Amino acid sequence: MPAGDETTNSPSEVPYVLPKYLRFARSLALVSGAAIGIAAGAAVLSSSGCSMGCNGICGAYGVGLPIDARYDTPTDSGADGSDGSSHDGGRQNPPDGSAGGGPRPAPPLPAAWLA
Amino acid sequence: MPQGEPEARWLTAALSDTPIADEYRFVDSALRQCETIALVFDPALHPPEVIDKARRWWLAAMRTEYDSASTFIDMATQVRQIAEPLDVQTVVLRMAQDELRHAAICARVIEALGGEAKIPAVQLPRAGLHRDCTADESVLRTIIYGCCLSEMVNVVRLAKSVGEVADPFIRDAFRLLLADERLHAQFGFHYLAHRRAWLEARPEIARSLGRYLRYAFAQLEQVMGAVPADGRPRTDAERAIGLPDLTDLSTTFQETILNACIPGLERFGIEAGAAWRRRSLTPG
Repeated sequence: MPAGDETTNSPSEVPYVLPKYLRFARSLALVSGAAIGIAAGAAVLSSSGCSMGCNGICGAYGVGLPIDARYDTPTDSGADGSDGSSHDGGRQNPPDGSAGGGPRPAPPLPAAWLA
Repeated sequence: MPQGEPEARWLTAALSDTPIADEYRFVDSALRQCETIALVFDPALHPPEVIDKARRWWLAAMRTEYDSASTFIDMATQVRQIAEPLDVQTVVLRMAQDELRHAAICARVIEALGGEAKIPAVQLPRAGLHRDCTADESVLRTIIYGCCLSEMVNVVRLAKSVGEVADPFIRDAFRLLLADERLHAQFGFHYLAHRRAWLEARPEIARSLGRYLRYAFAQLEQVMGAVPADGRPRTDAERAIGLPDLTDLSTTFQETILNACIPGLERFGIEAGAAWRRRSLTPG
């Protein structure tokens, strides 16, 4: 693993070789403005993932799971944290977490955070 | 309909049947980042009950894509309020348009699967106001949360789906969506590059963004990273038609945040790793 890898700074994080879809995402975050520009033109995605600019410098190593046992088990739909302030770490069924993309609107900080 | 009762509105794939539709097709063709779907869906490849389930999933996706155009429309208003460069304003508006095109892609898949592409056009989501910070920081919060985080998670899930789905027609649909989503995710990091000098001159804003991320990570994890109570692993037939593995939502969310979002944000002096480790819905 590269000595300067910035993602493995927790004892609970296990280094492992990133799958292709994560290498692609990592390249988008780290190679901003270099290999993959907004005006890159026609994007050609191969049937197995993509071939539009992953140039190998995005790093083959990353952070493996499990990381946080709180979130790797099924949720109880009875949990109500919809206002973001009722409890810490509570979970709810994602209303659309499994149904397509689109950006999520940034939630304002709840009142408790503004004190 | 009783007077005063709001009219029920529906969105379908139908166009206006005017020259506006010609212009729409021109714009759609110009902005499309890769070739459109050339294949035909073959229902003989899948059990009927799986096709029905896929149809319902794509209908939900159509609604999500359609609704999410509002997030970029609000983002466009915000970047205009702080007079960001024209390229920034234009690309944000383009991304709003992309989401409408995504709704059209979903509609095409629904119809190919034998369904009716018709969703209720109810009250659209609106972004909340960030009253505790300046307009510039509000824009940064909006773009980091919307593009660097949530769209990056979408990129990972779509890229994974492209590699897993067996049906060539559905794979083409995923490919079309992914081609735009990667732009939406990377736009966030391009924008941070544009604001780098501004951020470096204001370390208090970078610290404030780190504090905001503590809450934002926890909130987004509820929305995008939680496994539903009734989630179970997919069958082979469900995987073949591109249905998601609901038991994988937490894993893909955390993998994305740790391996892409955090290192990407930390390039700009935002302490995203510490915020992730201390993520919480309540302060303290």
